[in-house]
Amino acid sequence: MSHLDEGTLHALLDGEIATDSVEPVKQHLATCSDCQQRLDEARQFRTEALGLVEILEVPQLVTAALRPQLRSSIPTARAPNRWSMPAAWAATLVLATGVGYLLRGPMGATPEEPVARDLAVNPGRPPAPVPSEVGEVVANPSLTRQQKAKLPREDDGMPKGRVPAVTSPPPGPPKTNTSVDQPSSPVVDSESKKVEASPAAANSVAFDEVAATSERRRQEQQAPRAAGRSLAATRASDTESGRGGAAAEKLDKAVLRLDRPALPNPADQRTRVVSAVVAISALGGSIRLVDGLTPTRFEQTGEVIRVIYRTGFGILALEQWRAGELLAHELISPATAPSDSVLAWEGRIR
Amino acid sequence: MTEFVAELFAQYKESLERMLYRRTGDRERAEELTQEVFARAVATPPRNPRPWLFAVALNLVREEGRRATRQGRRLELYRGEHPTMTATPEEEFERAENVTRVRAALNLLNERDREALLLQAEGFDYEEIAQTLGLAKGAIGTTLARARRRLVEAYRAKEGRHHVAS
Repeated sequence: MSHLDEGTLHALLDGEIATDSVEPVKQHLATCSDCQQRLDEARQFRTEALGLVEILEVPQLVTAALRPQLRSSIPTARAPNRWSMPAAWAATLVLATGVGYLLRGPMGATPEEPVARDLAVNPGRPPAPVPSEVGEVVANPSLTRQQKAKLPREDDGMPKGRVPAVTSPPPGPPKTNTSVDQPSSPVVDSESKKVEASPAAANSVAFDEVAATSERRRQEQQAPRAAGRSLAATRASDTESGRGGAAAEKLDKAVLRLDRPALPNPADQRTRVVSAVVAISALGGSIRLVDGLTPTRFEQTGEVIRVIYRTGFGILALEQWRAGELLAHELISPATAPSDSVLAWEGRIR
Repeated sequence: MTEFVAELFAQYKESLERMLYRRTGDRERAEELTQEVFARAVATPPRNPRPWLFAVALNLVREEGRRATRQGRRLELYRGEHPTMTATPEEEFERAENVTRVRAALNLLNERDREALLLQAEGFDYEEIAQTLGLAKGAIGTTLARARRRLVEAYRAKEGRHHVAS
């Protein structure tokens, strides 16, 4: 019998040799060291090729399998999402500051007083911005999200060089007790501790909410008519019922500021147009995009990358930055975009 | 008839989508093409479903490949291969580089070899590969042998270049 050709060797390995032909092939292999060697080589190519093909696995969305890992990663590097901030944080903050204001004694003239006074006078409004002594940054509540979208990112009151590193413990809501040197009301202090102790549990709740929202969005995208109550309607009712709403959004905004990398060097604050490759490289080798939209350009301001899209409602920007192991992002939508469109864009961020 | 296609969908959708993703490098496109394949199955129910579904899918990819490259396709590739959140940035970067090398190596194969390799990775036997690609069953062993060798050699060459460069 002549030497076995490569196709026969691979067919043998694949179990594709007809039963009556297997025996002669095996007999030849038993006596031919050359073919035996080529069989070993074929086996190696076969195994290696299959392994290479399997490297190209379809990327999965965040699934239940990843949840435990995500849970453990959230406390050290939070991936902010506009709607992921649990309303409980906002409620706790309001409770803490409100109770602190009401029960404050002669030492009530603490740094948190302006916040408490503001809440007392305007209980429906989120807390006014407080200059921080320990690096917390509070978003300017007088600006709407859309107004902010029109502003340069670096000029909204964020103290330069005072933002904590992204690998620091998770940002909680802006603390009312901002100076460690100042005495504070015991009640406020205990409430503050409650706020500080809650992030792990709150993050767990937050993730479940995000997962539920994500699932809801996915279902709506797949069967928008069958979905019944839309997410927009849900959000509207949440706002009306006091769950979430403007305060939570402002609070979320404040936390996003904490996560955003600082821009210590004025030269870094310049925004410049960069290529996709540069943008991806700046983010550590990956980038988030909005499915179904084609980027018109990429911008870089320090460590923050902005993917710009042109939509029928105006410019849409997907800001993102590396936050430890995570790629944090924030979608800045055009002021005139309806909430359904914004939700759809957010749901298609990959 | 729709129930029949629904069964096919449940049975083959994942495998078809995976093969299409490997072939195109674009998850979104793979999903769209999968939908298109099953839409065609509704219109023309196949008698021999698995080879038929995959043959239609590969035909769609070939048709698309003949058209001009759409804007943003490269970005689709980046997006499709966005890393998971479980590894360090360095590990993710290395993984992404590796995926790029594999894909580049796969693209060096001729169309028939590449498709045979992808179908075989989906568990197709020689008979099914032959039916799907319109080849003689006796030619599949040789086709796969060539495809595997070329893929591995191309990958090794790229890997060697990568190590030299770094």
